[in-house]
Amino acid sequence: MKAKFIQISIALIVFAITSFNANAQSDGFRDKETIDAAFMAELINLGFENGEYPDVEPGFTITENLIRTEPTSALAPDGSILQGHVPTDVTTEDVVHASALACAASINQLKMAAGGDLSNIRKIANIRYKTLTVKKYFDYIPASNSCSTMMLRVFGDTAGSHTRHAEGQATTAGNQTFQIEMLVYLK
Amino acid sequence: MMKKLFAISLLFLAACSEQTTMETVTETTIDDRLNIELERLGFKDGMPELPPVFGPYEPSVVVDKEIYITASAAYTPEGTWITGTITNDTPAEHMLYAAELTVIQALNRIRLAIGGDLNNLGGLHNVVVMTTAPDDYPHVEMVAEATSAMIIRILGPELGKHERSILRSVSLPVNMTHETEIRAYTK
Repeated sequence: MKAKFIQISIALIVFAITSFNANAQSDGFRDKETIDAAFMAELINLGFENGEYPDVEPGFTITENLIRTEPTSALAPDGSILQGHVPTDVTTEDVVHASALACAASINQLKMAAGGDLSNIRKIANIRYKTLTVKKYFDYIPASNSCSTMMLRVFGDTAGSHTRHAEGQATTAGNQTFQIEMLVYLK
Repeated sequence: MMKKLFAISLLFLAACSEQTTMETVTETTIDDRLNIELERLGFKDGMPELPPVFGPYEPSVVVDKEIYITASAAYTPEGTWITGTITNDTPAEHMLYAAELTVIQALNRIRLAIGGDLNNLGGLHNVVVMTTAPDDYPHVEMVAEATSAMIIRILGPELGKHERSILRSVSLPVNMTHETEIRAYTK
């Protein structure tokens, strides 16, 4: 608990210092250190040890400078993935957390696509949120906002502001509750 | 039997409307044709202001010449959203009205993304018609046809031509009845 507190504190201090530097940039893009620190803070907050994302297979294609991520799952630090329909099997709060996990997983994919340097990301153009749900459920906004705010916290307004779409799915591969797809431009 | 007759009649009218559009489109401007549609749908003061979005995201994003918009729901001239899940008893004209309002909302987002003038539009890539209608709802294809026909009536057959897909969502955010997404590019 104490170690986690120290990790979060260090990440936040680094993020605060680098954010101050980022504000001084004229083109509005954040530098690598700022984005890395912000992403690390998100990962620590989600419970990933040392703020490091586990090794995963690439799940994207790149056409010229456009990255298309495949449907990206909400992989938890313990290796599990949330399953079941909302709200019958899981709660809205579970989906909000799953959205943050899937968002972090997507940023990790973008990092791989960008050669390990998230400052090579030019623009998050579009995010598609897919939720496994039942007919009467339509409370998608909290889960969508969970990732939309993370993108802004990590990339800032210039690269991180985006359009989006949310839909409810009757069935999904592996009965996964939540997945995200992104269209993202490299510099 | 009456439902089938009604559906056939609407399809016939849509076809006639498209034929008329093809003949007259070269004689009118985009703004003329847009204003005709706006007036028909009850917008007395031209294009309405965009309603606020539901979270930290943008109505549109432009990268180079590519235009992305957030999925657009049906916003009425009275300033309300058309909400509610479609059932097999929902009249076709209700869905048609909702679909046409989503086209206005989507084109409005595109217009504002490219300097407030649809004449800056270079063309459309694709249109996604998103419906909450049940699997066996008989009018989905007709609603998609009406969506495409309206886009072509406003933009003309050359500028307005597009690929199209229909996406059935279990439900949509805020219980929206219908949404349309258009991918486009500038001149």
